Amino acid sequence: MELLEFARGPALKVALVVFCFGVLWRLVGTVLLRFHPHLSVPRNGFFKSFMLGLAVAGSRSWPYRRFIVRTGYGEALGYSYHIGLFLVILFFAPHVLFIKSLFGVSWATLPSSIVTIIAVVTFTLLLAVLFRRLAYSVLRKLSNFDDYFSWFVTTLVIVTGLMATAHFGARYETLMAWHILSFDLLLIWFPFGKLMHAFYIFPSRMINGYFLARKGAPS
Amino acid sequence: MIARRLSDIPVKVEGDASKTGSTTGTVGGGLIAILREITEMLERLARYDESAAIDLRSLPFSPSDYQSLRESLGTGEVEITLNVDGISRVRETGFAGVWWVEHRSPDDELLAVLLEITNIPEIVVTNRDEVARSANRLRDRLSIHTAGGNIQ
Amino acid sequence: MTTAKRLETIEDVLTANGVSRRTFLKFCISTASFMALAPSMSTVIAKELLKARRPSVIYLSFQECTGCLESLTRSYTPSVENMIFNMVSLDYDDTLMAAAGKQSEEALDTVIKENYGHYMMVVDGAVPLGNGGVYNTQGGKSAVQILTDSAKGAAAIVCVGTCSSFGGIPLAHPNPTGAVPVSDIITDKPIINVSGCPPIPAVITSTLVHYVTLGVPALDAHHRPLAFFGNTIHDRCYRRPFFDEGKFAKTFDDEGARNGWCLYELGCKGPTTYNACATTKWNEGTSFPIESGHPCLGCSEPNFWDRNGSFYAPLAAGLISSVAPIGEAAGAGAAAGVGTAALSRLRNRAKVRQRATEKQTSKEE
Ligand code: SF4
Ligand code: SF4
Repeated sequence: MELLEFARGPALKVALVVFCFGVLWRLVGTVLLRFHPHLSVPRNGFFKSFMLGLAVAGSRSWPYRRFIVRTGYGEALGYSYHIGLFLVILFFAPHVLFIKSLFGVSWATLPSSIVTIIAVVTFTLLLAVLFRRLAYSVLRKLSNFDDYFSWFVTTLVIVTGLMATAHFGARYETLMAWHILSFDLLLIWFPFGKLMHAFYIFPSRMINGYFLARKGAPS
Repeated sequence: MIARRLSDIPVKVEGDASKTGSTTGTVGGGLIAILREITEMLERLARYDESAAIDLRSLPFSPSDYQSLRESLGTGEVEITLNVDGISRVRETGFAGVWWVEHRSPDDELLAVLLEITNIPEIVVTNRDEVARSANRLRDRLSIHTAGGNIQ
Repeated sequence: MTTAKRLETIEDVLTANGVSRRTFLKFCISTASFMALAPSMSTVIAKELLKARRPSVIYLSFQECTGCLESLTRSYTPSVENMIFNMVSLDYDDTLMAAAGKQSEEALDTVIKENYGHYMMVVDGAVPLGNGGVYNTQGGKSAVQILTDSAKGAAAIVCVGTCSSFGGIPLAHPNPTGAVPVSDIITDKPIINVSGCPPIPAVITSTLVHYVTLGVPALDAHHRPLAFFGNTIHDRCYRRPFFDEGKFAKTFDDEGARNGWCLYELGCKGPTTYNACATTKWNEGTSFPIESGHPCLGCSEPNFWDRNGSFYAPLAAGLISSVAPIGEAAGAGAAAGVGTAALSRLRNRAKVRQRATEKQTSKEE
């Protein structure tokens, strides 16, 4: 079996199995956890608290005006590369074909040249993100292996993908194999590292907001 | 719209025509490079009598690039058609010493297109061995004739 | 075939057959251009060919359909095909030769004995190893036997077609005969693989010319001549602008198909297939499969029959036959999640209880 076949076949299968198992394990396990009991009388009803919770999920995802000068750059950086990633993942024709082969659904795609440009920009932003993490001592002290490895697997997929489109560095089928293998690696790492934030981030903000609203301390 | 062919895909040709004396008015960057190469080859031919050739099919040229190359080179005075296992055409361009040579198969399939920078392309010249061989053949016939045979 | 007086050099044969110098020169120019050699190489080829000894060639056929030999004997012009037979002395080919049975076996032995160490072997077809090789026998000898015996004295082996190069269709799943490519059996001789199902005729002849004049050509990792297998179909495909624009035919009769858009979504294997179709084309340069609206099958690659799932599955698709195990994994994950949460709650309750008792005991004290 050649590397590409291995990447598209058994490796992908194992990666998807680990990914689905891991993600559901962590999601279900978290959702069913016992919450701290409420000791005070609820200040807001369920519905109102729920809506306030949603509002918090939104407002906490936006820079706080008073700190915008200090945090704006980092947040802009973060948002831009996430948007770049989404565009590349969801609107590159071969990716859509990949999704279609697994789930049977497909949608319109962007021209390959545009996706390539977005991918290059995203890659540059990822470099900037790493630089920022290393350059700010607070951020650096907060970072652990998980942060760096999650950054690494994400960037690896982009780099190998760009190499494959540019036919740069090796034969196309080898580059394709690297690209898919690095994606397989990302899938396997996903549930166990900080990449899991993709599932956690908004619900956890919302639930925080909900509890604060119940206590009458909405913001 | 019906099936598109490569030649239907619009190709934009850029460049300054006045510098190369082209009749079409547009010259691409690749074209300028090859014209420069031809110039150098011509200089070597003039100085050291050194022939050279360019395989035109090895260049990443589009059909319109060929067209403009042809037009920039123009046509000269000599045109030779060879009947060698299919047609071969040897044409002098507007620049003495630059020959546009096309080889085709008996089915008229294009086998090779070359620009030869030489006094006269080798395929045209008669070679010494051939001359000797035809002298022998003719002598043989003559001896048959004098011995009472027929010249056919 | 073997009893005729042997003409030693190629020049002898050409003169004897009345091939003119110009015809020969034109052939060399075309070959050099075709192999993407510098134009000056045509003169070298011409010189080398004229003084070269005509190599004796043994053509062996095993598990094959004769499509490759059909392709070879229909090279782009009849005269070029003749030229090839002027250049090599095809001393054994059981499909083409007049002799049959015992006579032909004797012919093979004589050729091997007389040219030991110098002859070139051309092989088409895979070699079955299953059940001691009984699935392909000729004159009571198995294909493996014939191959190993004949290869001993060979100077080089040219594998014509995907079957001899990589196993091809005989090796395809479930490979009932245990077919293997020649390179699995012969490991101590230079092997040139001219793959394709069938290979492009001019690719076969040019490879032979290169071998006779300049020796074994530069090869890729699969032992294929780089001149023809150095680029993918996709690299040279005229539909490439549509690929880059993201314009794809989705079915064989939609607007995209009629407009000649890229066939990637219909399963084109062009991006991973190394062959010269897109530049050399087929049938005297008429067209190649993608030009006729069908995706490339990847016929010149190892394992092409099985490796992509289906000829019509896009290259980007995952090669996963069923998603059931993934669903099961998701279910198992959810169950594990329930388990973990339950465990955590139990532990939590135990902690609360313990704290309560601790409080009580401290009160009692
Ligand atoms: S038709 Fe096939 S080879 Fe041609 S551009 Fe599309 S994918 Fe590539
Ligand atoms: S286009 Fe692809 S499948 Fe078709 S002959 Fe060429 S290499 Fe083989």
